[in-house]
Amino acid sequence: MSKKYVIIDAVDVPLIDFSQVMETSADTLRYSVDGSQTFIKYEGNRPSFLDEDDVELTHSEILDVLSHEDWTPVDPL
Amino acid sequence: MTLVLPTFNGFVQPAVAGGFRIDVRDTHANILARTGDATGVIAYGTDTEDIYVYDGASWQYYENTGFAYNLDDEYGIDVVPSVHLDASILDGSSSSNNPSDGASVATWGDRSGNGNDFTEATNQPTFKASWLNGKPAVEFDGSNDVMSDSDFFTSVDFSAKDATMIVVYQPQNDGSYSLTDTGSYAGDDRTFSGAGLYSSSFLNTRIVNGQYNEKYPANRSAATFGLRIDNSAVSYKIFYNNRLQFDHTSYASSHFQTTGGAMKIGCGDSTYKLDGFISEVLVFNTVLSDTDFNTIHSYIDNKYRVHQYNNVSGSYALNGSYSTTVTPVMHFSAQSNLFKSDGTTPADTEQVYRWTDKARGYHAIAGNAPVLNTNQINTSLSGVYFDGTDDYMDVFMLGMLGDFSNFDGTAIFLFEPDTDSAYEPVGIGGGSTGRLYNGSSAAYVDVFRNARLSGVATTGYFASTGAQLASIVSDKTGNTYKIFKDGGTNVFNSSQTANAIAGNFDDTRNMRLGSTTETPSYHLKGWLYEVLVFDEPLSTTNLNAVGNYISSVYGTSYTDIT
Repeated sequence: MSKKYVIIDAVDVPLIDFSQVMETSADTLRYSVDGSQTFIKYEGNRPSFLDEDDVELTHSEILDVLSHEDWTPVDPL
Repeated sequence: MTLVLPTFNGFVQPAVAGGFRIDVRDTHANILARTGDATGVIAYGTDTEDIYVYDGASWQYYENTGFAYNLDDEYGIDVVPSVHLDASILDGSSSSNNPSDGASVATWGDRSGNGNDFTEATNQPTFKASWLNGKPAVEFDGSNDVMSDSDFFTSVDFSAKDATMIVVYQPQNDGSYSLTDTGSYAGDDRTFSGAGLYSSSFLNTRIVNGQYNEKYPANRSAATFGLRIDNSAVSYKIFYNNRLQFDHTSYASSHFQTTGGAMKIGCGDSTYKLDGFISEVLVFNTVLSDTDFNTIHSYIDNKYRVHQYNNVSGSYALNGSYSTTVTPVMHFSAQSNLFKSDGTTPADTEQVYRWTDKARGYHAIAGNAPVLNTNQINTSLSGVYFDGTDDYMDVFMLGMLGDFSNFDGTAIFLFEPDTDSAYEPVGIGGGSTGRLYNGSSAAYVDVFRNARLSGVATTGYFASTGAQLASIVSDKTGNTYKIFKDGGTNVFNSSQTANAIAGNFDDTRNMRLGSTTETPSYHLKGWLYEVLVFDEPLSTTNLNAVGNYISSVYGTSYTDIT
């Protein structure tokens, strides 16, 4: 069974029921560089706290999102 | 009424009013039965020293643990604590009475049976139903949350000037805090502040000369604080994770003084509130024996998986064929010691919450859990798969776990990226931008470094696919820094110098599996198979012993380092 990923606004983190997702807690979520967004992942049933318009992404799709500068800090090499 | 006793050798103490009395108590010191009570017919097995109680309907069996105080069903000690706050039994009586997650905590009940409950009317902390290893904790906000027992030091006699205190806690990246207020000193005391120790626990002054080396206390890690004050031996000892951190005799007798009234938790005198979690507090007005002190730490390790210092030295058998002359600080193997959150062994594709090392019993705890993949390498061997998005595992309090005082170290790990062009399989020290591999032969590695390298040229460097063995050797004394891929020769085209400092071990950037340290980044998309860490630069012989062990088990290529 493949995992699904959903990006949510950081202000909605208190709504997350961590028993329905694979992340451990709000303290361990990965946030965008500006801190405005995070994401959760799950297998099986879609978590009940998600809105209908929250978009499910596949593993490769979320990896593509996370590779952008919005999610990975630009590092002067 | 006829009582039918179980078969045993012993005597029966019938219910009597007054006179000789026997109590049977549970692990929380609650009285289950007492001779003289209506249900208190008690039989004592002289051969087994166990207790049988007739509860009015049938005989109940109670094992005599032989301990004065049972911490749980497995661990017991010979002294009853003056107070024992346990978030797993928040009211001090039964876990079934625990509130829901996020509830305000007005009372934290004493489970010792002494009635020293802690309360707060206004600035109440909150109940965290599942903290570490699924166990509860009480969360303090770092602003004004506090709990106190207003008459603790009038109820409990500390005139002998002996004390033992143990606190299980985790700051939330809090670099200046106090866990408790116990001493009469009022002011700017705190358990930990940046580079030093300013504690006034049970003192009329604060300690100002404690300085940390590589054994930093927690800024972020879950940890166990321990204090033993022995007036007779004239010693004042502070421990972290059951490892002695500070020993100062001059504070033991001449400066011993309690507040005389209230004891508080989650704060100092009035300032330096803790931003973080406290799950358990035990205080004794005696000096615990080494046995009892160690037993409490074993109980904590078993309950929360907050590992305790385990000093092991000498040769180490990697398997039946290969060994090193020194014992690693930790040795994680994906072939054993993997656990789900409920403590059972995961099946294929199930999440790995805990990975326990084979050498000393230390734990890597999932921030966000990777999964087990069985039959992943060399036909039948397993790997721990990190998905490259947010999976990582923490090894709390790295500096406490070995002897890194020389800022030397060796990290060896077998990993296999799953088509990943930028990754940090094992983070030790460094920061959030270092990574072992960045899609080219230019190195930005930060393992065992204060600052990462910046595009240093290499030959034969790592790749985005395939099983690869990294052997990273930081020799601060010799001022060399070397990396070997699958053995062979040092990958750097020019000599690199060591760059480790004490801050590498200050737990804001300690060890992490699957990502960088400070802020998790450059998450590995791929498998970890073996991770070994040593607190010294390994000899060529030992490096090759590990390399050939890995090669023989996993079928990977390895060329002896010369």
